[in-house]
Amino acid sequence: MLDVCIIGAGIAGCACARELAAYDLDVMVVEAGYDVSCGTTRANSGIVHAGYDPQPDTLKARYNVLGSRLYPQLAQELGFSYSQCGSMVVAFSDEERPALEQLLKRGNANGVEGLRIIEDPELHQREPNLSPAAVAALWVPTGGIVNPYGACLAFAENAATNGVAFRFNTYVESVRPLEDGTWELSLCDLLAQDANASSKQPAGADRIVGQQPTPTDTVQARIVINAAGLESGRLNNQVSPHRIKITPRAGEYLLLDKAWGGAFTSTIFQVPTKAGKGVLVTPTTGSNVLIGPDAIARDTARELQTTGEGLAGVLEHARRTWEHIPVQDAITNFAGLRSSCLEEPDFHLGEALDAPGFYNIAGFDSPGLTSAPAVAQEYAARIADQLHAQKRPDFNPHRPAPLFFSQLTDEERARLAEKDPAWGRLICRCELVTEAQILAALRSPLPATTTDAVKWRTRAGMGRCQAGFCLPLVAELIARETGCEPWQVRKGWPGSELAVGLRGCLTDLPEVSMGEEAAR
Amino acid sequence: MSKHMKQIDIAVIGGGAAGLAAATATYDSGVSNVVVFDREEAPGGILKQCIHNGFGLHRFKEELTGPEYAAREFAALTQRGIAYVPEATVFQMESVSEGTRLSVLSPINGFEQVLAHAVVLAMGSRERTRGALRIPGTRPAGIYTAGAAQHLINLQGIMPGKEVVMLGSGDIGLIVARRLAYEGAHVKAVFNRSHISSGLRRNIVQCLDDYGIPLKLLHTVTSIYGSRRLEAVGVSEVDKATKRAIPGTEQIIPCDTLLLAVGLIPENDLARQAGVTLDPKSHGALVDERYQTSLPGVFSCGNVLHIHDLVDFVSEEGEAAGRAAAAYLGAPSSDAPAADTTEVLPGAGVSYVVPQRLSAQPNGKIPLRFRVRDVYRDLTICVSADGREVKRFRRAVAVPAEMQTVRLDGALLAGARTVEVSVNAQHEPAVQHDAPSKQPASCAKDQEVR
Repeated sequence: MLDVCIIGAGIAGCACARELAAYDLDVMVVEAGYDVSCGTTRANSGIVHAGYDPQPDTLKARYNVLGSRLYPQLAQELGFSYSQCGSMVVAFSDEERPALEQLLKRGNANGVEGLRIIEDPELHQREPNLSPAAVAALWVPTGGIVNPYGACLAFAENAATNGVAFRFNTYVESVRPLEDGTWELSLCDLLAQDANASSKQPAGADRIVGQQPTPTDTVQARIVINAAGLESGRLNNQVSPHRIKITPRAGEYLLLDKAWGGAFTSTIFQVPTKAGKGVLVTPTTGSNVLIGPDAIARDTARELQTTGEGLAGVLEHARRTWEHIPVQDAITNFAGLRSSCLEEPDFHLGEALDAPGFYNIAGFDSPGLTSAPAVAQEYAARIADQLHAQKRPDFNPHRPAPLFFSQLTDEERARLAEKDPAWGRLICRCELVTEAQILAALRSPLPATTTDAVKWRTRAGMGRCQAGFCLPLVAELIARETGCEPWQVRKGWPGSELAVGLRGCLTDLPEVSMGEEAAR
Repeated sequence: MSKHMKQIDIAVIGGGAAGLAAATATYDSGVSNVVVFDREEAPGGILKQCIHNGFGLHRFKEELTGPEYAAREFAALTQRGIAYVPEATVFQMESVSEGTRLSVLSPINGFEQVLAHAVVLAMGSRERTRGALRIPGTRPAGIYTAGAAQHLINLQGIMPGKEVVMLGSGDIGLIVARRLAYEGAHVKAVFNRSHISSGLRRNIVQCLDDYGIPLKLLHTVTSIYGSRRLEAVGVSEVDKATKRAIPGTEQIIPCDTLLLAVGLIPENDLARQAGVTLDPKSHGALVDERYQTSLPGVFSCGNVLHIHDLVDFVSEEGEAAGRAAAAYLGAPSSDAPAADTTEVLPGAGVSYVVPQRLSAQPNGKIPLRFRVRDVYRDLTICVSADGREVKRFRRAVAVPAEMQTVRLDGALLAGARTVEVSVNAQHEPAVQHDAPSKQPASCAKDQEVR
């Protein structure tokens, strides 16, 4: 019997796991993906919003402002990339100025600090690449950027070293209440299922949902936290009469080469217009420039494709902010999904109606990333109280920041490479990632097992050659560490093996025994 | 740290065909304190994975495989006792008063800083990616550049896929298509956005036609399907005039692998960071006839300078750059390319020319290397100085897939403000071209126009 079972290893689930790890509780996180941050947390704008946007007196406003204040200290404690670079909402005509005033008023009501309207010369002194059409902006000094994957992993690793269990590749088929007031979860082991899957079944993550996974085992827990993102509505609706409908809304992005890393120093939003919310242009913690997103409702929870029209639309809107976007230096494009509840657009938090002990973190779209730490702290305190759990004296709130060769001083580089040749072996030349960093990811408390997991943790393959050179080397290292063949290494999900087999697997040449040949 | 900085005469960055030839040439010009830094485990660069034959007809007068060619070049290096450091990545470069300071990382020597009196850049090229083409869709496993697929098959013994679609028909792609077909994969088609293939005619015949693989010009991939492993690609027709995909023409082609052979990009990140002036047309450094870049004592050659078609020419260029680096050590006052020297420009029908500058006194026969923009027959290549024609060369045919070289006396060009290379010819209706290339298949070339 678990004390708490958390469904979903995104930012919400992992933040809860880390906060609950401070108490004397038996906690497990169950995740359908092959790694942390496989859903909505993976692909988004990576913004720590200051909190001027949500309507006052909503859950979004409350947790946004609280969460935003927690990030600087959490980034210190847990060693993830975060920068309070500031943000601005830009008006491109005098007609848009009243909207700035409105946001300023709303931000003040929500308790956001330091807001003010700026104009030239400050406006273009701060951001020289901002379109000359910009006339004014709301300056938001507490706006920040974060690596969402990095933050999520940091929470998860810290939770794991403090005793929280994690099960990946595990889909929660159903949740049901038991008579004693606890909960039973039916689980499906997706890796085992994939191994049994016949080749005629379509590959793709749709297989997870589309194939009606068969439960392989169950777990029982006193408390369930439903942090399942796009699946959170489905799980809530299994236990509560208050139905939540989650509408996946896709956002498409373009990522530009690091050569443009300094083009903007803060996150640039546009004043929302009748035509839409506008797109942002922002530096990332990895020194790229990110442009996006649009907002397109998608039919299923797993449609993560970009489209030609979508990307063209993103560019067109972003050119209001940055006239001469160097499109030729785009290194990749991707889509993320928001888990929005359009009918009741606030967060759905707290115990679900008629389901005591079943805590929702649903409808957790923007500013979910920012709010997650604040929600997690409140949940942990409340659940510990409910279960009469004490604080653990041996809880270690710190997680050492992973070392990045690219960020070290020459002295540190020399010292590390002298001690360990793996620090002297560069695997990813675009992002300067050494073998030692990749081995650290493969030997983490929550080991990376796929090339995507290695990429997200170390940046190997995230640069301008997009893994053209390092993919075979990374695959060799994963194979060596996990004891499989390099061709069996997966990009990510079960069924995403890099290759189909060894050379010769597709030819049916008769086998020749070398022994017989030699004997003749 | 700078107190203990190791000093060397010449650092060669890159252990492929260009770097090995450059190092050998510096030694033969009398400089013995030369070090080759190679970021790979073994010498030869891309030649290591080019296990097909067709290399070396010009340089060795015989037909070799890539690894054989590399072995000969490396043997020349070891015979001379030239230092070669494997797995050594030069990741920072800075021009200082005494020369060039390099930051090098390797498992053998750890992190070290080296002061080189001259540097030869020979880092080669990388392949253009899906992201750079902005192909929309999902991001499943099974999408590789042709070179990465070649690495998997030939060096790791791994089959990347069974049902293969290729975009782009650069030579690496054509060679890999044949390799996959030979290993039992079904290569469904090669699609090419342009109306001209960027592959050599001979490779199209030997790698596609002989294996029944269709080449579809004026087609491109417009979508990607599948969220784990690739399941299908959408392919659309391309309007020849606008070069854009024609809406409504997309057909879905089931496949588990998409290979990209859509061009090579000189890998000049290090050079750019050090402040070397680059030529936006060739995507390589701007050099004079001695292959010296805008930084004194820094030379560039091979695919990092411009994309070649034949490795033999890469070696030749490496040797020339190596000799020039050695000469620079003898007379370090030699002037860097300056504003008052001769500018070499691509004229009509020419996409770029290397070198882009000539020094005040260009000596001997100067090779001008360039690519033509289209397919031309019965053409005249004109070299003019300050608008006056100084030399013309007749050719039966010229195609973008082949690098062109003309050689002329430096004296003819000395003192001119500008030299222009242009093409006079009838346009060939390109689709049917059959360039009668007697040249061997090559690995070191692949230039698809986006």
